Order: sequence, then structure tokens, then C-alpha cells
Amino acid sequence: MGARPPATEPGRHAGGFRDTGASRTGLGAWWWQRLSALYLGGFLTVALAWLALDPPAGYAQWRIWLALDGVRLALVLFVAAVGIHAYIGVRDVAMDYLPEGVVRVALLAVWLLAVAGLVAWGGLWAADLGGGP
Amino acid sequence: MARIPARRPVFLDLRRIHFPVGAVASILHRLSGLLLVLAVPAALGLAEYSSRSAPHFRWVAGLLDTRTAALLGAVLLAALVHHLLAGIRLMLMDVGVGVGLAAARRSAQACLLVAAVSGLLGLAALWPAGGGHGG
Repeated sequence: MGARPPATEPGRHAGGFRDTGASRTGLGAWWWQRLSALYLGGFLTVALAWLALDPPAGYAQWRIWLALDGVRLALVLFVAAVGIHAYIGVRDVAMDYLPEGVVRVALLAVWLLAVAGLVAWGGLWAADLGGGP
Repeated sequence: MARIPARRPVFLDLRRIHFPVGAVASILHRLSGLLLVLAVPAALGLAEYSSRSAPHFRWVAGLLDTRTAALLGAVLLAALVHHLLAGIRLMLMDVGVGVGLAAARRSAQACLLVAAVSGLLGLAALWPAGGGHGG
């Protein structure tokens, strides 16, 4: 080995080794996965406990609940958090089991589109629940 | 170089293969995640459908009051509880809690046990009362 390259480029450390992750987004994804997990855990615990302990008596009550500003906001955030968490989670599994290459990139692109579609549809539904039945 | 023995053991006997409990918890974290990712669009779709009108709401309520829905719901609840607990376990390990082998084994067992119990309790709670519509 000759002289080690200086640590000048971003993502390149002294000694010449690079950060893991082709685009150096690994740590960002790691944080987003945990941040979304915290919200999902809190939301699902509260939402499922609520539905289990005090299920809606009928359609009218269901709509009144869904129209509450707090519920709509919580639902929009849930849809967004689930999109982030599901994309990163499946991406991590795919990166472990699928060989690097065009197929993996294509499948993840399809997955990203599917998740984005679900987030857009679910977010619009939740945001639009305020109008009443 | 040592020769490979001709009659080396091949451990494909499922009664003898035994994964460490941490490995089981880990793979179930992934499998439950994949299952939950499929359940989210279905749950959101049902919620959206039930919010359309009173007849839509009753249709969804009737659909959920079946044995099939109870079984599916119980499996999903067990998957959710395991996924949540296994995730909390990993985040605690990120900050250095429960990293030792004995503690990690105990917490992995606890995740699996609590998830299984939750699934059973969920099944009992979701099982349609007398007037259930069957399958």
C-alpha cells in the first residue's frame, strides 16, 4: 500500500474507506426508520386501544370521530409515517436478499411508486374527512 | 490442508436444526413487517369504504364480524405486537440496553411470548359472538 489519500471528499474518511451505502444515505434512512417507528407505535397503540375499548356505535359516531381535527391530523401523519417506514423496511430487506443490479433498482422503483400512491390516496382521504357525512 | 471427511454430518433434519431465539425473533420481525405492509392498504381501504355512507359502514362492520376476520385480525395483532416489541428491543440495543447475550435472549423470548399471548387474546376478543356469520 502506498500513501493513504487525504480525507477531502465528502463520505471518504481518513484511510480511504467510504461510508456504507452507495449514495451515503444509510444513516438518514436509519433515523427516518426510527422516527417513523416511534410515531407508528404511539398512534397504533392509542388508535387500537380506542377502537377496542370504545368501538364506534354506528356510522354517525364514526364520522364525528373521523372529522375531529386531531384524528385527521393523526391519520395524515400515520399515512406518511407508514409510507416512510414501509419503503425503508422493504428496501432494507431487498438490499439483503436481492443482488445489486437493474432488477433490484426496478423493483424498488415500483415499490416506491406504490407507497407514494398509497400515501397520496390515504393522505387525501384523511385530510378531506372534515366535511361531515 | 485437511481433507473434508466423506461422511460429514448434513443437518437438514428439521427436528435437529435449532435456530437461536434471537434469530427467530429477527426473522419474524421482517416477516411480520412484510405482513403488516400488506395489511395497511387493506385496513386503510376498509376505513375509507366505511366512511362513505351508513350502508357502507354496516357492510364493513358485518365483514369484520366473521370468523375469518377474527383469525386474520388475531394474526395481524400478533404480527404487530411482535414487530413493535422487536423494534423497541432493537432501539434499546442501539442505546446499549440489553446488549448482553443472556439479556438479548430473554428479551427475544419475551417479544415472541407477548406477541403469541396478544394473538390469542385478540382472537378471543374478535371471535364473533353467537350471531357470527361464519367463514
